[in-house]
Amino acid sequence: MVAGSCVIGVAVRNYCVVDGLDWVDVGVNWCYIKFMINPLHDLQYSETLAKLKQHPLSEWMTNRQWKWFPHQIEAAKHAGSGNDVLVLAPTGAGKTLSGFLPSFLDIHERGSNGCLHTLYISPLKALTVDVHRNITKPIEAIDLPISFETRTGDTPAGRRRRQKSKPPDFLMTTPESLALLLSYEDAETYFSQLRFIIIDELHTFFNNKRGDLLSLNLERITSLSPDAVRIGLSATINNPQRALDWITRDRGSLVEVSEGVRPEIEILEASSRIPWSGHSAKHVIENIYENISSAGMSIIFVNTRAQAEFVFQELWQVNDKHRRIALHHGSLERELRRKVEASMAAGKLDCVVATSSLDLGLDWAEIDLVVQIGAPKGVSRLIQRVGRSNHRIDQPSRAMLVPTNRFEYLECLAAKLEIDSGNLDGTSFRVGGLDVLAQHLLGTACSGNFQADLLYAEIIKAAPYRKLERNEFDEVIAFVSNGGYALKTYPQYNRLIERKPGTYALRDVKIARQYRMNIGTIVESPMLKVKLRNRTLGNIEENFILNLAQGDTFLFGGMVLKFDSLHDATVLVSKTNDDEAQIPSYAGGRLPLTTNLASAVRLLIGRKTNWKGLPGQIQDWLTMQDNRSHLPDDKRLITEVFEFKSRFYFVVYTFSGRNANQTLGFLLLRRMRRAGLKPMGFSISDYALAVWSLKPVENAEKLLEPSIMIDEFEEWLEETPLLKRLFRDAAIISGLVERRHPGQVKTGRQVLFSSDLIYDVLRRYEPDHILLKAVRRDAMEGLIDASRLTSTLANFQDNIISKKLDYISPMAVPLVMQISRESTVWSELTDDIFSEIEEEIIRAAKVQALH
Amino acid sequence: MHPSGALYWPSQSSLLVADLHFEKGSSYHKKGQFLPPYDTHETLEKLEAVIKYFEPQRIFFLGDTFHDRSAWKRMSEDNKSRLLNALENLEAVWIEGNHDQGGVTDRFQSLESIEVDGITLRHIMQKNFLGPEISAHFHPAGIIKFGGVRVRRPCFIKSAQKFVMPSFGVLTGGLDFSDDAFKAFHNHETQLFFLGERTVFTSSKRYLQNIKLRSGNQNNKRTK
Repeated sequence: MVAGSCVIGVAVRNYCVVDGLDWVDVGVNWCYIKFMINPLHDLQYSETLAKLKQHPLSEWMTNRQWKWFPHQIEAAKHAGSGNDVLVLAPTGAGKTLSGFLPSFLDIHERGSNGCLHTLYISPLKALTVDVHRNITKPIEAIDLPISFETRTGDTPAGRRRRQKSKPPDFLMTTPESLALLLSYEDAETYFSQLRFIIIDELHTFFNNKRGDLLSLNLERITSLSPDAVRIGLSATINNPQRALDWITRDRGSLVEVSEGVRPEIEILEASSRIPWSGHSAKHVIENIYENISSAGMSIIFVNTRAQAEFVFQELWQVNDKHRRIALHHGSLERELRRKVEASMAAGKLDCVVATSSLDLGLDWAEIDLVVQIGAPKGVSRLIQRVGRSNHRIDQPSRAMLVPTNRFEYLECLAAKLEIDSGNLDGTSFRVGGLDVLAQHLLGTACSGNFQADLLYAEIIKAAPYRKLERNEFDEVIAFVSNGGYALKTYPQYNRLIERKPGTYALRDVKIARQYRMNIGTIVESPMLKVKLRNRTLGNIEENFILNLAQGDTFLFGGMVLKFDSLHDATVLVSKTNDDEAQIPSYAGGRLPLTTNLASAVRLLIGRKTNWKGLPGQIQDWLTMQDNRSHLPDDKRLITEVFEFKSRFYFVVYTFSGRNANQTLGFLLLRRMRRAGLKPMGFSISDYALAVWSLKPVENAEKLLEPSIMIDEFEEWLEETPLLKRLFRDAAIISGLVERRHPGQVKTGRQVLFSSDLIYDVLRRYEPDHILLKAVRRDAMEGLIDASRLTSTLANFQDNIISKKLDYISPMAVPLVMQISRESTVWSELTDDIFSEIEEEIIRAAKVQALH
Repeated sequence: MHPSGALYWPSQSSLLVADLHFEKGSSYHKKGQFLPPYDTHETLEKLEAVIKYFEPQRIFFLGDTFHDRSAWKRMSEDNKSRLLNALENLEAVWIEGNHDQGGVTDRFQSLESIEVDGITLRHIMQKNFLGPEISAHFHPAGIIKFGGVRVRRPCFIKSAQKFVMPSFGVLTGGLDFSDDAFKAFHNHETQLFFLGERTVFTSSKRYLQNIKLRSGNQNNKRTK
């Protein structure tokens, strides 16, 4: 609980960012600030202001006619008096400096003592490097005697050693590197003089295992150095109090900077018809090109790597004005990505096509236009992306949304309306993972003996672990110690030894080395290097390559490549002159639609008064749906049954996101099989789910009864490969199996053991094992998203409308098309064949009028 | 061929099993990796079941029966007696593998190889051996499409002269058939038999063609 926190809203006016740095001109003078935020002649304010005035940075700023920002002074005041602070501000509001300022003032006053003074943690290595560059500039300019260093996985070993023996004043790092530092035996002395911990992009840590690990490590630091002040920097979020609660020790202050000017968002008006399905944006490539040509620097965001490749390729096809267009996504080799980033910063590019690899707060360059192709999937995510073009807060950011199909048009408009009315997505906070806890316990043991009671008390201070039961904590200790098997153990091999009752020590230093190789919570599916002659182009998922035969072509790094062979975890390719290729379909990169945006879409569809912003063809489509079936809205769950090509389709418009829909699909298959309906398969989108069967569904209400989340769900959970996939991650994070490191991937002749086999054995012999428990909990969110599905089914339980139709409803057309696309063998699927199928579906649905 | 990974030889009334890797789970405990130590029990149950099903007179263990040389010592008394009971009324022939070379206990005398009815049984196939040969060691596996889902399953490999067994142990991984280790098999004469839940599936011609193509251009100098 947070006691005594206060909320201060500071209106930001008239400022600009100069030289890519967050130094800010408030456009008012010192007196004005004093007057504005200090009507009560608060002592702390005068102290902070006095310190600020004496600080050489102030002179440096005055020389440049830059002034301090109110929220920066606010943060300095609170942190200076020993309170934790959370600064919420939009991109480009001088947020980073507000994090560092308290620390600058403090070290100026005390002087450097050769110990670690401030720790800066960011979610991205690249961001760490970027912030390091920006923050050291003025420090060097005024020659302050402060040392700044970064430490990430990329830091050379020599420098890491030096950083350990002779710590810099400021260390800028990532959560993983922090965990590593904390696992050394000298951690206690290393962190003992720490005064400030700055956590950047805090909002990226609330709902994932990385955040779990960070929260545990923050508590560790607090135990080692109780006075270290935490300063969190975050994008604007809708529930700041919970975020404050997450970051602070016991008391904290919130400094909130209100949004500047709302972004100007327009939706690209397509000159042609909007496609029924697909995500290609092919129909508007020319329009997009016109727009980026007339803008200065632009970023085109897409949702998947495959889409990035495709759009990039298409743009070059129409690039008759010779614009400099580049590509940036997570599969590309790091060097290539850095090169693109550097070119952007140097203004040598006109446009970059990017995935979420460019999402986070790096200030690359002055972006004039952000284009989002495809559905934004979430309001906050869209704001973040749009904010990339926000370099003057007094001017609105400009963004253009490009829906690639009809449903996406609805989603784009809904997102625009949400942003216009200032509604953000709900930030969700997760319960800490037990696998992460296991990793942390071992790390703690690596740094020295621990007492279980004290450690438990420390851990339940971390927000994600507040509700951790003592018996579960003990089970995790047992797991770390010897695997936690009830039936059989080999005490001679225990990793932890209980020295005295409740005091644990590491058996062997070798274990610490092993642990340090396995730190982290990000588990990637096996990736293979793509090599063109001697050049490494990047990495690609193993599964994709296993699908290819020699001679198949695919798009990668903007080139059409021919697959030649697979050799020692390397994919050998050659270049082709083909224009077209089969596009990589990556499993990752598909985020489900957020709950907030989903209900906004429901509202948009369900109320005709909201249709004003929709183009005629979309309005006609919805009207036809209204006449023939029923429109989904915020109060009712619509289902439809119709026949097409002697199959019966059962469509449920859940708007629950693709993960929850997929789960429901599996469960419905079971329930329908049981009811003798002979289901054949299902297909999903973010909005709906379609199951096809040999017999028609008669009683939709019965099928969708919430009990499905108990009866069928439990059964399915036992069998689903998704759970095995989650188990694989948990097994690695918890240290049950070792991480595969690049290079050592295929040194062994065969995979040593697969986590799937361990899962099967474990489930049979110890169904209550702590790791299985951890996995079941993970399953409720994320991939399986059971909690969202449960609430959808419960909310609409008594408001299900089932329509029996003679043919495909207008709204189901995209899904039926998707089904045909998915169930056709891809090698036989050409554009011609698909448009034939499409025609057939359009005729069958009698929607030619919309065509 | 049995979906458990065992091979039954009716004319010899013999059962062949390979790569049981008893006590593999516990062997990792030494290194501080606590794999569930129930694999031996599970593998034993599988073994008991196939013996009961085929009622052979002889059983051949094609090597790597034990995961390491101290595996017998780690094996629980209960599991030891289960193994001995299962083998009580049959003749057991132990061929040694790279993991259990030299044998793990005096109770079992192990051989390097044995010839039965003109066919040589050994752990690792010999390249220069031209006669008929049944071997194991590689834990062959491959990916098959199964109801639209791609799954990796262990498989038997059969060519004109060579036969490779999948691993029988429950905690043993597999080496993909496309790997260079199986290069000699990447041709049209080879047939793969994948272990399903209840039956063994034969590979399609196309599967092998794809595999062949994938590894077939090792000599392609241009791609190094």
